[in-house]
Amino acid sequence: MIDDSLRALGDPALLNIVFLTFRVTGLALVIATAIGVPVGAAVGLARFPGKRLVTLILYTGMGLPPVVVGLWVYMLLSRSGALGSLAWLFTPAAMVLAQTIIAFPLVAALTMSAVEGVDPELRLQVRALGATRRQSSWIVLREARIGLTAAIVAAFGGIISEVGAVMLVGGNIEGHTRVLTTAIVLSTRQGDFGLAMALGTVLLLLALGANAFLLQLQGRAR
Amino acid sequence: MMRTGTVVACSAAAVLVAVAAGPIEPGRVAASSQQKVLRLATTTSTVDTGLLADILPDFQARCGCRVDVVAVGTGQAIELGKRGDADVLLVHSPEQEAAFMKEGHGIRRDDVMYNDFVIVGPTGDPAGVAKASSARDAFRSIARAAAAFASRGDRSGTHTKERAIWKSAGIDPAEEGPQRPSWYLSVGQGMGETLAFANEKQAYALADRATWTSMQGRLPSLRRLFGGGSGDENPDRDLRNQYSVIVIDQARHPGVKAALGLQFADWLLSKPTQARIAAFGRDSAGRSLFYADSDEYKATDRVRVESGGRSRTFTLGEIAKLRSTTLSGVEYIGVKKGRLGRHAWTGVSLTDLLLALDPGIASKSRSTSTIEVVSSDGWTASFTWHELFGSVSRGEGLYRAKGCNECHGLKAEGTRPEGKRPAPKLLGETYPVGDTTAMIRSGTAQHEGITAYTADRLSDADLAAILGWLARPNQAGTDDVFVVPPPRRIAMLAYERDGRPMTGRDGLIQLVVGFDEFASRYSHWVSEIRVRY
Ligand code: HEC
Repeated sequence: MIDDSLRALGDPALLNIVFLTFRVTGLALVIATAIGVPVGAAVGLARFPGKRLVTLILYTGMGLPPVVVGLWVYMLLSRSGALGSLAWLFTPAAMVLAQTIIAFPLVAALTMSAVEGVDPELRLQVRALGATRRQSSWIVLREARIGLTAAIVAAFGGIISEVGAVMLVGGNIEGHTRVLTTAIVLSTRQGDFGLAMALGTVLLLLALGANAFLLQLQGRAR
Repeated sequence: MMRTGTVVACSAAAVLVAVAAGPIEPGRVAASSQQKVLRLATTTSTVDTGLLADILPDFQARCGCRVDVVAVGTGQAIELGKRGDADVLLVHSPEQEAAFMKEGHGIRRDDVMYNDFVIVGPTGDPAGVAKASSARDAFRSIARAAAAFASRGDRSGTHTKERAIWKSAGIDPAEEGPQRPSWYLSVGQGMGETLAFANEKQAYALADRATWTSMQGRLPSLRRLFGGGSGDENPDRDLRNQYSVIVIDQARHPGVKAALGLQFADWLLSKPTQARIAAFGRDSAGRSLFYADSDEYKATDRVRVESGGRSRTFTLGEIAKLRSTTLSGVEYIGVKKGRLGRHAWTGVSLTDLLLALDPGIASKSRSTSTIEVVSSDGWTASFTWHELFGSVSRGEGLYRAKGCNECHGLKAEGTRPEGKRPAPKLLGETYPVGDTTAMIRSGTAQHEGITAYTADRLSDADLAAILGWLARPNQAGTDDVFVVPPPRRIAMLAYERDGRPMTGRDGLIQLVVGFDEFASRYSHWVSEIRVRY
């Protein structure tokens, strides 16, 4: 096992895989955060008809099996699909798209509940002190930062460990769309359980590092 | 408000750092569109065994392109092809492939290689599979013993094969739905996972030999129980696992790179690549994982001739040194490709080649011999001694020239080909000319469905001559000698077509028969000539 881990770590192909894993997951997370936080905050703060329906949709989205998302994205990007002309299928772009769709409801729904958890009195007070609408939203978000971090961490965990969708739309092409999870599936299928375990350990360590980093940021922002 | 740099912004910045570590699509798309990319959808076994990693670098260097390999189950690979999401397929499920071609998704499908399936099971072998005489038999005994059986259950090529064997055994454990027997375990996963599962569960399984060979060491409680020690020793031909390459049709699926796909197929079928496929695994695993099987690979450049107790192997170079003959205007009919136009053929006459080895063969005392020309794919074309060294009555000559021998046998002795209608012995029988002509012309009665013999292809006079010979085979007078014009009265081993050396796909050495009008005695990849008494 230790041998396998060393073997895996010494492999230059692994670096490639790790980089791609981070690039795909990172980009998907940034996009999902950039859209998900404002949407989640808006839904959480505003009061409008149909809010319950939007909430329901977001919560359901959290439970969407990644393979299903993968299948949708596949159908969309297939040469005979609506966006076939983009030629995105079996490229990292397709993987980013799929992961963004998986991460978005997680970020939005958890942001929403974090924002809703902030004492409504706070916003009223701030508004009373003459803050603009935008300023008061910022303050609420700051107040909800722990929940926000949790949202991002949850989304990160959800997509970095996801395999069904990236396998389907990425194709697990060596040196091009192979990420840690699909590499693990491949070595399992090849019966190389040692290598699979080693890759799993690498994934775990990377996730650990990334989460520690996020928590560190949260602590500093306090 | 400096510290209002909220968590969100910070975290976003953090991931941006990770992202900045390298460029990503669509930048990458732009960069890679400069380089040609061929997308190959294939079954997992070609990747899992390491075959593609071994052979693909050579192609990528030649085409200056990148091959993106998408390894999935055969079912999914074929689906990718149907949607135009792959340029070429390398798969192993002949039935699904045939349907795929019929639906018009592919331009070309060629055999590439094969390996075979083996039946593995617990070392104790409770069902007694090791004693089975065929795969079907083995499956029957598993069902009888109700021993655990792990099925891929994923519509892969292996799963399709497994279902076919169950079907031929008259049992269908997978189809029984709610009454599915509890010993039949449909795993729904790849070969590796299924074998690992069987190993844990002490279950039987059907596995492709390549995967089994490469994983064997990690499966202590499993043993190969049926299928022999290598592909050549496999006692059941039904266990053959045929891989083919399919190039997707650009006309049907715009955007598919058919030209590059064709280049890939040609490369895959070429002799050097095939030799590499055949060698793959021999060095590391000690035995071949795949057997090369392309037409081009099977084309031999040497012929072994065996006659009168002597034998000698002639290389193409040696054959070319013998006196050559040219035969022009002979229609070339490929077995799979149909009529391909008229050509001039250059080669050595079959009689010259035989005489070079065995001068005594022309003597009358040898006139009961049959000369067999065998291709490397097993196809055999036969001649009577009289056809090559003696003279043949008009009726007998026409009998073979018109291809009656194809079904009724070289000497009209009748044949019972496996899986086809047996054709009766005709020699020595008297058939009424009028009724028989009507029957053969119309393709009805006994000749139901045989519609080739229209009046312009077989005249009444010719048919009467054939029937005359059948009725009185030994009474052909000398005036009745088969009257094919001399230049066409030749069977030759050709090595040039229209002045150019032949390619592997057509066979480097080909048998061309000047006096036969139908394709029954043309053959590709000639590898052996035997004279039987
Ligand atoms: C594609 C295969 C095929 C070819 C080619 C073919 N035959 Fe036949 N022929 C058959 C079969 C099969 C039967 C028997 C069918 C049955 O009895 O059900 C048959 C039956 C016959 C019979 C009737 C035999 C009997 O005893 O009833 C005659 C006569 C005959 N063929 C003559 C010919 C002649 C002459 C030619 C060439 C011009 C020829 N056949 C070419 C397949 C073939």
